[in-house]
Amino acid sequence: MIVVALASPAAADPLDELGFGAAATGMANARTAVAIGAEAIHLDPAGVALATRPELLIGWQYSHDRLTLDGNDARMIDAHGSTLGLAIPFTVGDVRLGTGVAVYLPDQYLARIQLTPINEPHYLRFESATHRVVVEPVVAVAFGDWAFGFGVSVLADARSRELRFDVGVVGGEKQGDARLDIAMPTRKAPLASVRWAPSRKLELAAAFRGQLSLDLDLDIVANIDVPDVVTGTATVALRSVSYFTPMRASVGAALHPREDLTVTADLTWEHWSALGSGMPDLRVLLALDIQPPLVSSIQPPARFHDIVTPRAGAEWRSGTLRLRTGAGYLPSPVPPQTGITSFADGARVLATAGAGIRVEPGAILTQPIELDLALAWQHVVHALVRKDEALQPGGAFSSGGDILQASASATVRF
Amino acid sequence: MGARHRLSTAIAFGAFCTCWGARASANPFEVLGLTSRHAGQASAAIASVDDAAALYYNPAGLVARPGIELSLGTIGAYAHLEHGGRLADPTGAQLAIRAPLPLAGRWQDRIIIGIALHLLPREVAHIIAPSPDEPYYPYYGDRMSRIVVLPGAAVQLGRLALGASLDVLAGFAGTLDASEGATRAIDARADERIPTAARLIAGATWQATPCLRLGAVVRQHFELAFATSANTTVAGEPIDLDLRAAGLFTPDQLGLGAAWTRGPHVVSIDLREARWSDYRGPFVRVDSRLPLVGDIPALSPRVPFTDTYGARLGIESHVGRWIVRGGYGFETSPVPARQTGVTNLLDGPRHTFALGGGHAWGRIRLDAHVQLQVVQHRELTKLLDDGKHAYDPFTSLRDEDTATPDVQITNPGFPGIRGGGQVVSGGLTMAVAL
Repeated sequence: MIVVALASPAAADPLDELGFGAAATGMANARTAVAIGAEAIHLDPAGVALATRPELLIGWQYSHDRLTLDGNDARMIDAHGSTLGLAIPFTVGDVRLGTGVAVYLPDQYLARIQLTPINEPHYLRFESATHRVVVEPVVAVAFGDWAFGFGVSVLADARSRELRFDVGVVGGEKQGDARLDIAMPTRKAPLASVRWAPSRKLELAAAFRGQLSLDLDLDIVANIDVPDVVTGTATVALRSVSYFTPMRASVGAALHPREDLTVTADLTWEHWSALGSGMPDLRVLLALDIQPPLVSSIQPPARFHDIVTPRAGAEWRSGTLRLRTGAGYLPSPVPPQTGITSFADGARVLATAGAGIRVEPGAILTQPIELDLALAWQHVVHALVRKDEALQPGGAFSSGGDILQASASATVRF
Repeated sequence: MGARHRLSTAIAFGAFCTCWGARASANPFEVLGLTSRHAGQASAAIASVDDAAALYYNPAGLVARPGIELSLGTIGAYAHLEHGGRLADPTGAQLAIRAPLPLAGRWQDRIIIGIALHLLPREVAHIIAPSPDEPYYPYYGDRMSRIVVLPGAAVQLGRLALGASLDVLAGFAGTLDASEGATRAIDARADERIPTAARLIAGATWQATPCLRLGAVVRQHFELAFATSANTTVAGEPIDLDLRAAGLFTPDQLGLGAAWTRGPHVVSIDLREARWSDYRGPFVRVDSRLPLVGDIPALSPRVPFTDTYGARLGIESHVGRWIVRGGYGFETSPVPARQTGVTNLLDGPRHTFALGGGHAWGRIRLDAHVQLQVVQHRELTKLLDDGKHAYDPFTSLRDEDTATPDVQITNPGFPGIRGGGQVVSGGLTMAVAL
């Protein structure tokens, strides 16, 4: 048996990185306590029940990574994709109810699975963070000053029920065939949130999302029957965790000091220490008439630590115009990489700006439409990592750079 | 490291790659229908559809009626097919919603958008690629085993309506490079991608007279070329394996329909053609070149699938708040009736009988249906290779062990195999006018 050194991606939710809608992007995602309707589905599902009409949010986002490794381009692939949010509120007596679904569809891939040799420097958290689909159905209820939202964030695993590959001699001729039975069971992380508006000038919210990941669990059997060459069975067992998205809890506040101004703040705790090794486990068992087996090696745990992320935002409204800005500090959960692993990472400083207009009903529209644009800049602090001299004499790598993001969205009411 | 050891390592990694390249499944709406209202009419809906289910049947039908509408339902099926043919994921939940864009004036209620979903209770997808000799029903197989996402829109231009929707899908492509590392463990690098893809469903309806509406729909041919390769280097010697699979084949489809309305009664007739002759079969093709063994060709028989033709008839009748529905459909089989070689693909001409009903309470309507699909029985008989011509695995079987006297054949279809049976499905749908 062998255990092989590979590293698979760990990442936040793409919508945490890009924002769900340009209004959220323009305020550094600090809209947990003010989001209502379709844009609330991801940040605070309770806000879905506070909408007054069915809403459709359609958006598109682009993220350009300018990260470096040892001073060279890290060759990250730009991420871009579409967001779609649908919120349907309705009432039963005095109780306001709502249901909705948020979807993020990357333009290039629904998912991308990378396994990188563990001692090769790479951006474990960023290289695939925005390259996966997001689906979040929710329900919400509101009465009085309170609103509650519940839902799930859905992803899938991949598990083999049968994965057989036969190589043999049939009728005197070599021949190979395969039989596959692979299930992709749904993986769900719970979403829950509560919203409270104690006064017209203050709104408070708390949101929780469970841990999510794409787990591969594949057992492959290769039956080999080539007389006078080799006969027997080779078994490959792969266990890996991709798109690890940590459990997180957020609290948010929104203050309305004036009719035309909203100031928000969010604080988010992310449970990165649950990542485990962060590496897949690939084992090969050879039941063949050959010796010796391959040598085993076992990798150390990743030892990521939990982080707390503060974000703040502001929105100013004048007639149909909205201007937004936001900022945040995103610490790194990655410990010093002095050992065999080489996870490039760094604390990030986030600054955002955005604008929107509200097109009022009139001769063309029966309901208002909101059009929003936003730009975001993340600076990943440069770091020079020196390896433990006992493990890798003279070993070192540097990392850092910038991530630029743009977002556009429209919110249509019916 | 010995050559045999390198061989086994390469084969193991070839198998590892194989798991990525499996084909995905076709659309479960084709097998079960979308919403009980239309499944209860044997899915005869190309001209008559006027709700959110139009996203699949004929997107132009989205705009046939104004208003916001939400349909929620569940559907399930049970298979009683020869040789244990079963449905991989026999139950699912369906959601369809449509709403007019908030436009005023002459465009009010003229542009309608919507989305339809088919969701599985426990899975996103379930991929089955059988061995070439395995008894297998390609029409059913894993066709219901994936979620479906169908966004779309339609516009009304006088008596003509045009619509389109997209069936959003995913494929698979990538590489795996593996080589023996410094510690003799395998040092591997993988980059496997699941690209977003979509196929188009486009349709039109024409309100010829107040009673008669005609419809046409085209569903685009779709095939995802799955390709992945394993480039393994052991002891300095490269060992390459390539996987090629024709993923998620859905044939070009053309449907024509007519709907005749008289008072509370609607009669629908559909005619359909599907170009299955482009299908290369459900099997995965794995080619490899290994040390000592050399080239190992894939066992990949070429199956001559044929185009299919079908007709469906549906009736819906309102009796006060109650609604009664029924339907019948017939479709030829794309699977060859004569398979004398390795393959055991089971199918037959298909008859569909459907019954349904509904009841309305104000803005809410509850529909139910039951459907029986009868797959006509077929008998496949095998032939032995006479050795006079180049061997074709589709036309005959050959002795698997030429070193042993007599003929050794393990094909489960030898000397003959019988296919056919029934598939029963049913469901409930709640439609709400919002």
